Amino acid sequence: MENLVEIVGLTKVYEGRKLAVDNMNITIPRGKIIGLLGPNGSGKTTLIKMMNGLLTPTAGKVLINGFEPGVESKKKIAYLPEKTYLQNSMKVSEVVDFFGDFYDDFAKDRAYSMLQALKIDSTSKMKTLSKGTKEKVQLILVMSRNADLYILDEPIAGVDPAARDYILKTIITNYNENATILLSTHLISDIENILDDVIFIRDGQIILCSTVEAIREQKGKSVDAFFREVFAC
Amino acid sequence: MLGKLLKYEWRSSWRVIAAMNCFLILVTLLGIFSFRSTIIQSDNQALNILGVLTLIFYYLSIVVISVAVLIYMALRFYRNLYGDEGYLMHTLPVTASQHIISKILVAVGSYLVTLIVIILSVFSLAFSLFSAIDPTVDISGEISKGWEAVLPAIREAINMPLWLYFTLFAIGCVISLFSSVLMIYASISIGQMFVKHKVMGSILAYIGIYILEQTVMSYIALPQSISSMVNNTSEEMSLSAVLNSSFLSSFIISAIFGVGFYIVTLVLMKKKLNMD
Repeated sequence: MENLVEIVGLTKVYEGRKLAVDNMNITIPRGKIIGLLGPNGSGKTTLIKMMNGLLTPTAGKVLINGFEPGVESKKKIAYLPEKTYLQNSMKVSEVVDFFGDFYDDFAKDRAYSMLQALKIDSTSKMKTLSKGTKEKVQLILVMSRNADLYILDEPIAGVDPAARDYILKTIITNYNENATILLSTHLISDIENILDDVIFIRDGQIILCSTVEAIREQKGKSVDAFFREVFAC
Repeated sequence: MLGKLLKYEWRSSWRVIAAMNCFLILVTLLGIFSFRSTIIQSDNQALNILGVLTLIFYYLSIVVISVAVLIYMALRFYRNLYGDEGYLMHTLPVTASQHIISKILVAVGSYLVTLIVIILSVFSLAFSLFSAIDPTVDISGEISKGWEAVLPAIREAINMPLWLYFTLFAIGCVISLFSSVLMIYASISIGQMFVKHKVMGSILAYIGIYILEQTVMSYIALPQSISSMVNNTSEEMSLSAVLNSSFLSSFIISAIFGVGFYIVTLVLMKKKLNMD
């Protein structure tokens, strides 16, 4: 089966700023949970935004299921950005309807059962929810889709540890085996156990692409310890 | 997908637009009440001052609301497509043109509704004012009499059937409205390309485009009017020619600019999106 994501010569230069992503080449297979790991400012979010068509590359291209970012790729990607992107004036139930209207692969019953498990009242307006709860709602919406590729940008940073465990469990149980989850974070120890592969990224370049097992076997270290060694200041 | 976008765009906007129009209706009622009491007791100094103040307040309210609707639509476009909400909107499986069309249809629709409320408000205020001055006068009868008196002159001036003139005029106004809103969208889309100061960039882009459009208008529309005046010897003919040519050409220029603004917005949203 063809690769899910193909990235060829991808480059992004911000105007008047440094190179954010530097001639990146990588293929991402189906059926994996992949950690996109790197320090702040390494280019993780820039890469993710280009995969979602939110930023225009300076050079190179991204193909998802063989399509450049557009309507076809967006049908297949469930993306969780770092930002709170839901309209404050909407109720939780309205945003659930919104997702149901626009994404054919959205499972409303799954969304409602997760909302119930995390004790989020679906009649509340978004503006009355705390920042952490809003993040949970967004994660629930994204994980309630049957997408081919889930791209989660720092999904657990603002969430309390109890909910974090629930969310990680949800991520593992909810996704189908042909789908891939790309998870960007710097809280590695929390997610290490669920990862199949890791991509280390620094200064806009991929410096390592490996399975978690290989790191443990060859380096004799956890991914977290290895990350600290590679990115030591 | 366009239908769904329209549904959510309308759901998100209608409350603010309704609130603005309710405010207009309230101000109109206040105006009617205040004018009537002023006229009935015209010797009361305090009420006279109140009447003048109400008139100023009424006038300002109409100006502010008609601008506020456009500003609200501009803010909504910016926040929903280029602010944090844009992270959701631009990852929906819809095209850039569907985003723009859904926004413009709701914006123009809201503006037209507000415009109708303003026109009704002015008429009802004027009507109540005249009936308060002299309750015995048949106002609608007077209006139709006055209308019949000026009608031949208007007919002669416009040199075409009246219904055609008003239809063309209405179409032209709607085209100009589309063009004005698209000009705001194009400016915001140019502004979002700036790394910092996106709002300032949008405002500068708007001013730049406005100057460009006005310059083109005056270079094309004005000489055309003058030449049609010079070429026509008869006085009546020249008036009709000037009227027709100047408003038709300004509407055509508006339409051309509108298409240009749409293309600029579309291309920038497709090729130069910069959600940073």
